[in-house]
Formats: sequence, C-alpha cells, structure tokens
Amino acid sequence: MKIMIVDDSSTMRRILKNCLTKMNYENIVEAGDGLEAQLVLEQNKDVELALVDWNMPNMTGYELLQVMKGNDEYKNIKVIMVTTESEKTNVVMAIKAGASNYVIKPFTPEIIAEKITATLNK
Amino acid sequence: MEKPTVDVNLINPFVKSVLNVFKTMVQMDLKRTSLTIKTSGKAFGEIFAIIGLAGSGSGNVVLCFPAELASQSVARMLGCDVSTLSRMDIKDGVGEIANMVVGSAKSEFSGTQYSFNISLPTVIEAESNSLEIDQKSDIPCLVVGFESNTGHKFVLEVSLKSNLMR
Repeated sequence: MKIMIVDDSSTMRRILKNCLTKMNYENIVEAGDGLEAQLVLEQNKDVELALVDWNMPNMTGYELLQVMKGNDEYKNIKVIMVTTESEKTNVVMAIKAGASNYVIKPFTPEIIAEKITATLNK
Repeated sequence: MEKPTVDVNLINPFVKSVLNVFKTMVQMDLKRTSLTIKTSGKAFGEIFAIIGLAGSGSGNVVLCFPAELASQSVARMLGCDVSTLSRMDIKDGVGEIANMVVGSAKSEFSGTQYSFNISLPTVIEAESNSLEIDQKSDIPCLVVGFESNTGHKFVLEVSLKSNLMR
C-alpha cells in the first residue's frame, strides 16, 4: 500500500516514516505542503492513505483535504489529519470535510499505529 | 508610566505542554526550576525557536535551547545518533518541538480573551546567551527555566496579552 506523508517539517515526516516502517509500510511518498502534495498525487495515482498536517505554508492541510475530497481521482484516499490543532471546532471541520481520522501532536508511535489500523479497517 | 501587570497563570498551559511534548516525543523528563519576569533583552541558549501569537490574545513564545540539548532532543525524536544530524535537521526539529508546544497550549486559551492563532516557527542560531529578543514593552515576558534529566537547562519565554477591552 502506498502512503503519502504531508508535513512542512522534515523532522515530523521522518518520525511518521519511522512509525510506518515499523508497521511494515514501506511504500511512502512525501510532500512539504498542500501544493506539493497535489503534484505528488498526480505522479502517484496509487496512494491509498494520506497523513496530513494542518498548518503548512502555501496550502494548509485543511485546504488540501478539501481539494482531495472534491476531486473524483483522489476522493477515495483516506486522510488522517496529524496536527497540533486540537480545538474541537477544527476536529469537527476536518471530519465534516472528509477526514477519516484525527491524531493530535504530540503522539506516541502506538497512537499512530492504532489510528492507521482503525482507519484502514473502516 | 504604569507598569504592565501579568497573570502568571497564563504560563501554565505552556509549561504543561513543554513537559508533555518532551516526555512524549523526546522521551525526556524535564522539571520546572524557575519562573521570573524578564528584565534584560538577552535570551538564554544558542538555538531559538520563535512563534508569533495573533488573535484576541497576541505576543510570542520563544523556546531557548543550548546547542547540545537541541541536538540531543532532535536525535531522540528521530531515534538516530546525534552525529548523523545536519544543522538543518536540528533547526527543523527544534521548530517542530516549538510548534507542538505552542499548538498544544493554544487549545487551552480557546474561547478566552487570550485566544490566538500561531505562526509557523522561525528558528535562529546565535552565540551563547548573546541573542537580544526585544519583547514589546507593553507585554510582560515570563521566563520559565527547566532542567532535563540529563542535566541540561532549557528556557521558555512567553509574552501574551489580551487585545480585548475588559
């Protein structure tokens, strides 16, 4: 399964990649913001899951989520928001926009694993 | 001129958040060692992550790291050896720590006169204890000292005021 990580922090992308590798997911593509993520998606039509940060330059994760869910090619990709945005209104906004799950930073590898498994089993 | 007053309770969500981020992501226990009001422009440390706050509440938060603690913290988060990290890796990692600290604290101010949105982190390096960060004179700056279980000191500076009339 191909998984896309979208976060402007290379540190956070490496942390998430480490978590995914431990879960035996090794087919991973990365982007540093929402705009770059759209280019990555164009070149990787087989992405099935995206882990997306909220606050990023150029295009936020929430804007990317809206673009993905409004596009027939990408709307079936499951999206987990991985963000420090923990206010209830933001969580509700993301879920309404089509996010499958929500992880609040900081997180443990166990939480990421649990949310990914739950999302893929939905 | 009347001196600005400060509610020291404003610091609590940030302190809680620092302890939680270091414990969860860095696997490092910190303890709070001091709380003072900043009187000089000089900031402690060599690597600084600055996040601006804007909204009903405004100001900024600065995480001040000695270089060794910064590199150790990033290496622990990534599960790698310090020697494999580049300067950019360390700066990015410190910025992400700041993002998590301030982002986590943000929700505790939601719906209050201090609610704010946060900027992306800016990370700068300077000679030891030489960086002057001028806080706005009308916003008192609280300085919280921490110490890690590895014996390193770490400082958090918080300036936050409400823009709403009371």
